[in-house]
Amino acid sequence: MSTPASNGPKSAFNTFNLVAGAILVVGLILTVLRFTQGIGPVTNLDDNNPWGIWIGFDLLCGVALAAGGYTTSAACYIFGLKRFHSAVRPAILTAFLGYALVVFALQYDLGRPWRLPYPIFVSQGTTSLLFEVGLCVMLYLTVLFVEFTPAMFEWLGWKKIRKVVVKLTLVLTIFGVVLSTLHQSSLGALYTIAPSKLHPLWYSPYMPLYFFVSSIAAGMSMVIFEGSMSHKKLHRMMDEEYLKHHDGVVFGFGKAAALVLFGYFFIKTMGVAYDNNWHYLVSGYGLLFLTEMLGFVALPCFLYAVGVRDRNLSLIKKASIITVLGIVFNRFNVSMIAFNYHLPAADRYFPSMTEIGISVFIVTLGVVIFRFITTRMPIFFEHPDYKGDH
Amino acid sequence: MANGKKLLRLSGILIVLAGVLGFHMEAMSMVGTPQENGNKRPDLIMIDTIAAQEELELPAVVFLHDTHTKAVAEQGKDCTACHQKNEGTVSYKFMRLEDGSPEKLKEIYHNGCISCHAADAKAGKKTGPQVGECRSCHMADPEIKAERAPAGMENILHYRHWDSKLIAKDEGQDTNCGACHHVYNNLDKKLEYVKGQEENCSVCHTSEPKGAVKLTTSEAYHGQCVSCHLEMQTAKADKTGPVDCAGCHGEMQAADIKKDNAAVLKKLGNTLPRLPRQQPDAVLITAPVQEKVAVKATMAAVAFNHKAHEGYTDSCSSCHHDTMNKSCSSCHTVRGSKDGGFVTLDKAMHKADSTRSCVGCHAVKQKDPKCAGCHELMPKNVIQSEETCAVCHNGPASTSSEPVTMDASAKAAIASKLIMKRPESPALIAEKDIPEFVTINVLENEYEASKLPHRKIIMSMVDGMKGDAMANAFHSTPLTVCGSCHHNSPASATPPSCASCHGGKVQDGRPALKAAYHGQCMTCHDSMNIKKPASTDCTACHAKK
Amino acid sequence: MLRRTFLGMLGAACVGASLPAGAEAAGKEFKGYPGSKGVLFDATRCIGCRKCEAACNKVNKLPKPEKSFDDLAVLDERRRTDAKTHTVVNKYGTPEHPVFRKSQCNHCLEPACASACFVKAFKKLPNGAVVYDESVCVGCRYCMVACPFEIPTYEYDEPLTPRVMKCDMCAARQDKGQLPGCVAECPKEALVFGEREELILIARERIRRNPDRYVRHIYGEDEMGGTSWMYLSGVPFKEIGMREDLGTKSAPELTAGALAAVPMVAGLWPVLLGGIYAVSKRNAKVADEERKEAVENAIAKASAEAEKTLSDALEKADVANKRQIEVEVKKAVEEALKPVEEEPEGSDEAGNSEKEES
Repeated sequence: MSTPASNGPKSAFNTFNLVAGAILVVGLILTVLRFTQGIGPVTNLDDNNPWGIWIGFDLLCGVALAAGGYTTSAACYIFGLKRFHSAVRPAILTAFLGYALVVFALQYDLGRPWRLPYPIFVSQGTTSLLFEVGLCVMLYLTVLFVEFTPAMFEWLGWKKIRKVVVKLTLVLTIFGVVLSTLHQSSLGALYTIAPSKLHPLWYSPYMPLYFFVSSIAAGMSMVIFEGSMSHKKLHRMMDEEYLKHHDGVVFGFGKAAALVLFGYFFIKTMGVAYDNNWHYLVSGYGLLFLTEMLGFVALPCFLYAVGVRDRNLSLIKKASIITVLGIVFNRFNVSMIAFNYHLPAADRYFPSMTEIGISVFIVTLGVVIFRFITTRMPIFFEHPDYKGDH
Repeated sequence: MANGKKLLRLSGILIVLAGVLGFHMEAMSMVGTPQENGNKRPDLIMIDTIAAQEELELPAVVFLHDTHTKAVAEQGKDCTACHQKNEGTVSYKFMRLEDGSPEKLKEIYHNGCISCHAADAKAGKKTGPQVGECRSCHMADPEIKAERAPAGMENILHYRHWDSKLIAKDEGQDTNCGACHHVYNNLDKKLEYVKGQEENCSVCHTSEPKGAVKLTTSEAYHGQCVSCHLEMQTAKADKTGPVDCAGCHGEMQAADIKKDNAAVLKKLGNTLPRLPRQQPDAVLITAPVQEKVAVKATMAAVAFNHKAHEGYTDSCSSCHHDTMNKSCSSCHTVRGSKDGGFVTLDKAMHKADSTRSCVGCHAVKQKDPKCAGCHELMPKNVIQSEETCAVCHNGPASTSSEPVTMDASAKAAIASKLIMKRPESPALIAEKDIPEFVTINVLENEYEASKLPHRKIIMSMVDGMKGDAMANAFHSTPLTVCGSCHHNSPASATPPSCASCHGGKVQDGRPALKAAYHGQCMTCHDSMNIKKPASTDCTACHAKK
Repeated sequence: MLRRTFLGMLGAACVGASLPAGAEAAGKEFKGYPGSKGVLFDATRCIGCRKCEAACNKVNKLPKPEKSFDDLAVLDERRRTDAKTHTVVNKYGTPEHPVFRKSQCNHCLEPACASACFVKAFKKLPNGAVVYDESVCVGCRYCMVACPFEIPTYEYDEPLTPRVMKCDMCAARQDKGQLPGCVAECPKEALVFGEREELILIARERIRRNPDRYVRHIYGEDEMGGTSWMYLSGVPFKEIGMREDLGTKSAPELTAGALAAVPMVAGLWPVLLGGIYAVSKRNAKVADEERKEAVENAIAKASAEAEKTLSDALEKADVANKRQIEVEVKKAVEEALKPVEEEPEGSDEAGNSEKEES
């Protein structure tokens, strides 16, 4: 999820654990503050800016970056690209953790978090795109959990139930892709209701499509990025099978990401043309838009393409970092920077330290749990009892 | 991975930078916008002559006329350095009389401009762009913008021209109108002056001249005005009109002309002599008599005081907007015609939001704070009563199928008689019959009753009308003045109370009593610029209990 | 395999079936409940006395503000509705000719907040009011994001039970036959309450009677699909802080496309993905079979060759001595069997090689 800063977990008091521990303690304090003082005192949110980085980063970026789960499993199980098999489990785990943390982070942003199940069980606001997001995220989280359970069952040694779950793989995968398509795009569709608030360069009736397509690129880049991260830090947990296919996965996804980014660049340009928004490009926001489009879409697309052609692993990894940052940048633009662009500067939103603190806390939590699981369960390696059982 | 980190940091910085830029968009958008006023000039001409014939190859040329006039004058040359003369008047076009093909035009401009610039450069003078410096003239996005104040020929400026001793008198006349006004004689293909038929220039010189007319409105004006002013200058007259662009169209210079005008008007005792065009003093406006159109009965004729109205407006064309030589009804027919833009006679006279119609122009006068107190309250587009029509329509009307046909002098006689009969002061019931105070106690449970100085208010209104012919003519019955507050009920010295129509609730858009009172009082005070009491100061009218 | 695909489709179809209610609502034009009520605000009449603000505060039992409602100095700064204020009057124009504009919930005919709410906390009542039900509100604030007029506000200081706060056109008072608080208190009838259709006629009549006093537009007649609260003004609406670029599309129309795509995706995706799976599986199977066939052919060919060599050798043996024959035969058989033994190993490898193929 992010960069764990450690060299090896030899002692319980290594740098990583210390830093992570400190962040977690601060996060807990902030959590207490949030639920005793209310959202007002701990955030810079106000009546003009009801959504801040807890939505812009934790939800929008979290969901987009957890797209690795459905892209990888689709590539492996649906498109039959078996060499991605070793990458599926880490991707599913990341996705599961990502979504779980998104839901966790939402608890901070929601006014009455315990009512989160209300839209599904108490009062269904079916005209709302947020309802669609909620329903899909809930179902997908369940799907991801079930998809992840084999690793857990292997760790626990429950063979029978594992077998049942493994048989469901294809159904789960298709279900997962459907749900992901729906809610990834719905996150973009959330903003289609506010054409008057979002800058015309970002607003488009095609926003659902933009969000969906960019999430594919984000998912694949995240798998590459996170794979290379784990490769370095969790090398000892990886088996030969994983290591053997790792480079292949990187090249495969690199190639695909280059294509998807190219397509994404193309449809975004079409969107500008469709609404005839060219004249906005010369404004300050135009500069921002061009930075996003050229620096974070066209550039990584090019780097990916070159990296795949030259079999240059490090170039692909760089491209993946830029893409991941680009997705974050895009989601920030849509949800915060280009949102409420019509308001005077004094009424604009900038996150408070507490808000940032909570987000950092949640990311750290994710990394810690990821480490906990990957160092124990068969994620980067195949469980010796189930070798070749796929 | 070291490189990756670097890249990560770089991207981070980029994001932050872009974010900050995004947040300061307002400040960003300020940069690069041209400064206000600083680079707006009246003499900027965009030369795009070729655009009329084909698409421009390069952007239009930015040309500063006054800068060139000055430079040419410094070299001891006059307008003919650039403009050819055509039968005495200077042509509006550059170094030619007629436009040719695009190639020809291009050649004229390039040779004309560059040869002069080159000569200057050779002589070591500061000069304009040379061969090869295309973009110095053909600028895509020039920093300077053209802004011209309209150069109007108001009555007073018109007077300064026709009264001028410098302008030669017309042959056998003691007026000089022919110096500017002309018509085209189709028989001898010549321009000639016909006394009494002076026209608006724009009748013939439209933006797209047709037939024998060659010049557009602006070409005609510039040709006439500037050449005449130039002649005066060469004749060493002590006072001549402007010859440069800014002279008429510059914001400051236009204001100077206005000042001079005001001084002249003051010298004349604030009344301009009438134009020597033999305008009628009084006109009887009747519905037009159309052949073969049977009219059962016509609206009663209106006596129009033409003489008085001449002084009320700034130019004849404020009413005679198209031509001086036809009556209104020749285009604005009863049913509307194409010539009159399908504006019917009724609309032409009564349209409330036109400044040319009688009602529209009177409505503008009613904006005067002295009048607005009452008139702001009154609906504009609604006919109040038949009495209001009869104030103007009090002339003869045909009641049979025979239209009224009279000769012009008989009509004028009737009109002047009607005008003579108009009252010279507003009619009003006896002062003692006006209740001195009116007590309003609608809000009695919240505030003390409010005591309205009824008589004082009415008398101050009537004071404001003194000496105003229009007010005198229109407030012609003793109860007219009462009608703006005591509205919608038959005029009476004992009008029904407000509460008889305005109940406790809004009905059909009719305000409830409280709002009715507040609406009347506050709207009147506001439109008469009465600052105190403020509308929001409840206790100024209703003492606290 | 077929069964699995079918199951997948079934599962996705279930999601699809549970979602498309939103799509149904889209597309049709809704022009408000017949006879629904509304309010007409006339900026040419408003004097900025803040009596409406005071009345609103009173009837909704909101906390007392810092500065009293008699203090008109607050008009000098731009204010917006907040959790303690359902309505505010702002001053625009020049100091000599101030124009006042009241802002509060406009009670859209098709409210963005209601369309955005995922728990149906907002409801457009047949009487025109858009009301809020805090008993189901989760506090996600999507309504605030969605509202084009920036009206809903939120109790940010409330840690556990924050509510979204906004004007409800005094729906409770309306039920009792009373006017909304602000309308009842307006001393100049800058606010007129009545049937929306009626109000539009009144507004048109005002414009017609005084064409010089009004901008010829009734703000809210069509904005965002129409609102129950409408405005008349003597100056362009932009100058009194009202956005003229909102368009006439209602909020549900804006999201209709995205919602309509949901059942399509849910229905089509499983078919497509199942198809892709089937095709890729089939391809793999075909490739497998082809490989197997190739291997079998190779074996057959090798055996045939071996046999041929054997018979050749046998023929030769006729002319050679018996011992020599035996030696030759043995040698030939050995030679012939060698590739046959190797082939089965090769076929195994071919079977697994798909992993390495890229």
